[in-house]
Amino acid sequence: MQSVKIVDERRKFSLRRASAVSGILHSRRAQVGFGIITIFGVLALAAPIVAPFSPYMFPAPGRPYSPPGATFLLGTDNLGEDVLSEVIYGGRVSIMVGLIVAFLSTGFGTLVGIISGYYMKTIDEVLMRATDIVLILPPLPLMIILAAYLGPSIQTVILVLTVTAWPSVARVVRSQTLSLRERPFVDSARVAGASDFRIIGRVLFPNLASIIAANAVLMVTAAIVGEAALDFIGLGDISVVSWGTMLYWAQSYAIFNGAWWWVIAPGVCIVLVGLAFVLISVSIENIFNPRLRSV
Amino acid sequence: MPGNALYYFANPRIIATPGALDALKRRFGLDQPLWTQFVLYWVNLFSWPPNFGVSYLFYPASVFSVIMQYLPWTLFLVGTSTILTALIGILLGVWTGSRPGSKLDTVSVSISMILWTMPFFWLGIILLWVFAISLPWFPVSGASSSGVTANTPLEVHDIGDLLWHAFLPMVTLVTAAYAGYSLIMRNTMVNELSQDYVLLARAKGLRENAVLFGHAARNAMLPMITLIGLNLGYVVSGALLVEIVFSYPGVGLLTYRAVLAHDYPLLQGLFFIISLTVVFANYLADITYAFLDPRIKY
Amino acid sequence: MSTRIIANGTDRQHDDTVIEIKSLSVSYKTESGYVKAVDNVSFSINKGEILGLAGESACGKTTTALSIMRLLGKNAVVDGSIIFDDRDVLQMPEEELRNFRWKRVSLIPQGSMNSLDPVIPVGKQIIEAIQAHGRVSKNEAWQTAGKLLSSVSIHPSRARNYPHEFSGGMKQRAVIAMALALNPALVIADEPTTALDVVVQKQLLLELKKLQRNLGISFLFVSHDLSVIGEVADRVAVMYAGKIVEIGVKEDVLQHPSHPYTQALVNSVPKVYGNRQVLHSIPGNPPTGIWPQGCRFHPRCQYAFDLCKEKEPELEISPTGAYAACHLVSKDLTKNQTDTKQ
Repeated sequence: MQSVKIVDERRKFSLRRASAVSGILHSRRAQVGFGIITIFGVLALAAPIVAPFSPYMFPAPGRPYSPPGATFLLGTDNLGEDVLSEVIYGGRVSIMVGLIVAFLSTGFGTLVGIISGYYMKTIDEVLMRATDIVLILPPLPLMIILAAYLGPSIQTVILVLTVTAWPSVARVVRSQTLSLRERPFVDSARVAGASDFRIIGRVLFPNLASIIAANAVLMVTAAIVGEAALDFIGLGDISVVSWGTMLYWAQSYAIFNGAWWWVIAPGVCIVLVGLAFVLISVSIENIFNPRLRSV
Repeated sequence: MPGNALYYFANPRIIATPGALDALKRRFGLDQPLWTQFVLYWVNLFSWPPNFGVSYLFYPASVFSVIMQYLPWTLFLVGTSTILTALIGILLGVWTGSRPGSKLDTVSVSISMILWTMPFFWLGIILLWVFAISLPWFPVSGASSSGVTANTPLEVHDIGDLLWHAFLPMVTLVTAAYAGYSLIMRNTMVNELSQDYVLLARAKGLRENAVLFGHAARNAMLPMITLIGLNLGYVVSGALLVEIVFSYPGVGLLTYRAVLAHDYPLLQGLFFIISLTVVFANYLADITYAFLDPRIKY
Repeated sequence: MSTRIIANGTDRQHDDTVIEIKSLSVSYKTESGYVKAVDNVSFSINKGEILGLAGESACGKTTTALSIMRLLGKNAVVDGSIIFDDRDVLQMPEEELRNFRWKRVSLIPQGSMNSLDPVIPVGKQIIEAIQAHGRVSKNEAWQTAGKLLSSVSIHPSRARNYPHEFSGGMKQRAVIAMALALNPALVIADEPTTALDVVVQKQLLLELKKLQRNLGISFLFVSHDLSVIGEVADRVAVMYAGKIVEIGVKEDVLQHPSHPYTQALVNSVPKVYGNRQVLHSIPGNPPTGIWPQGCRFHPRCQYAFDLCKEKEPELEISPTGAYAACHLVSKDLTKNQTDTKQ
């Protein structure tokens, strides 16, 4: 009895998931998004092959502050390093940090949200208190203080971003769980004797999948921008080339030396990649709520 | 607290005598057992004026006094940009929400999406570059031309000058923030416009504007206020970054310098006060919501 | 034979016709093309009469009702004419339309729960209707609002209250009061009893009949509940799949229904008194979007024969005096009359 009911839900879910996935794949919006991500992904992974120079070369390949030209397609920075190579290598770091943070914070936040929403009572109270404390604090000052104590490094950045990001995921997942658990199919699963684990994993989770997915994708954008912000202040590892650290150096040196390419390049990359993820997230949302369609 | 904080302040290579180092330790209370430090910290916190200790960077000024010097500028910046952002976001949201799928809507939503992903401090750098350096239309830094003598925005005599200095930072903040609000307002409007009371309002022969603003927007605004409250933390964070870019003398710039100098007392005090301000503003938002929604009793 | 006679559902011509709907058709634009909701509907309503518009969900009755005030969404394409005060509503320019709304025709919408704006006091909502139609001072407006409320047994001082401070029945009465604010000639009541319990329902129906008697207001009473229509209407029109299938005086239509669909509807109303019976229901579902060839009801009709599958029947007079669109009515006038007890 129990397995039949749950298998039924799974079958319904796979059908729904299949049509949703095809819906997403066919939306022009999402196609643009996936396209951009693929380009950047390939570039990032194949950096050593694709980038014309290494961004850490010593002595530097070009003259400092040379504008975009034949050899250096995006010009050079204050040390004479090739900006294009910096952007390609930097993408590895920035995108990787974005993905890791999104994965960790979504994972942890979802876990907290589901447990909190499903079991309610004391556990909910306790978890939500913890969430609230982090939520109410302004993120950047919190990140700064944590990072200042932990010392500048990529791990710090990842940790700090994750810590500030998971509460909002938890909140959203919790409220969805709360409303889902009252639905008849959860009750029937419970009556049929399904263990909590089964219910959460096989019944609740698939229904939460769309919200989790849409939010997780948005989270990547937020994390990439957040990483850039932290680097910009100097809390990241400034010896590592990432889009954020490029802006950190550029802030001090580029403006008064007229090196606009150094400022524009990493910013445009962040916008493009961020936009790509936003497009995908929006198309996921629009599949489930057609009235909102506009683009 | 990392002991090496003191190291930066009092470099043993400069201060010859060990006695001096001890004296400094005593001055900062770092020689006492840890738990005493902890208790003293909280006691000091709740006295008035709150004693956060003395800033390393601005020695011998107390952390509190330093923060109080910089805070008003940030409040000014954040306050005015939040109001502007809300206004623009709501208006745009009403406009696009009442005609979803139209050309205006598509364009607006696309622009909003791009702006939402753009790191606004990057936008700030570009604006600074274009409008302050390449074209000397706006000042490169500072809050006012007489920034040295004016301690708070209220003391500045020339409002024009004040606004002139604050213009670029505000434009940056508003551009970065309005997108989120307008998108959500749009979606809320779409929902409200499909409600029965809107149908009835139209049936009563009211003009379209009266229906949109007098009824639909009035209801759609309520979740917006909650949202503004929730987002205050992010707005403040944004302001911090913008201050760094424009060298605007607010707590953001102060934080930046404190980080660079490893001025831990200052950092802690800053964190505390900023958080407190945000919590308080959140509380204000909650009260405003209760005031505007007749169904809630506070 | 002029359409006017058919539209009235009786043989008499009326000079005091309040509204006349001629060949009304409404289609909705969707992603997959146009969907017709109302197909060539014609009828009229006389002064001081209550016309009940009955039918299952999605038969087009609400669309018909809303189109009278042009309240359909931007994706609706409306054809035909709606004559009121010698003017065609569908051709009216913006300004005139806004004037026409509420002043000559008003609306009691489905679900009064949501019809009132939750953040604005009830009195204010009544006043805005008044002030939108002429220069009236604030004091006067509030006084009128107070009087309107007391006419539906709500104390005038409650005008300053918010909707959530009213009970469900009070909200419904307030909405009625609001509909009467400008003394309209016609009030469209769209499923006004659906969300109410029977006691409040009864009060509402009594209220409407009182207004009809005292003020001479005409009503277009839309409902899927035949028993409610039976209590309140003078004439009844039955809609199915976007068309009127029967229209006539209440007693004729409900006690001696000519059209098989009407018969089935009447039979499916459970009777409280009398012997126990098997519950009748109409097999199948009403068609949406794609209509069957020929008579739209034929797949579900127990009397269907060959002609029904090929040709759409027109409204023709039946033995009872009502008009019915059924081939059996024109073919054999005696065969399908059924006596049913109300």
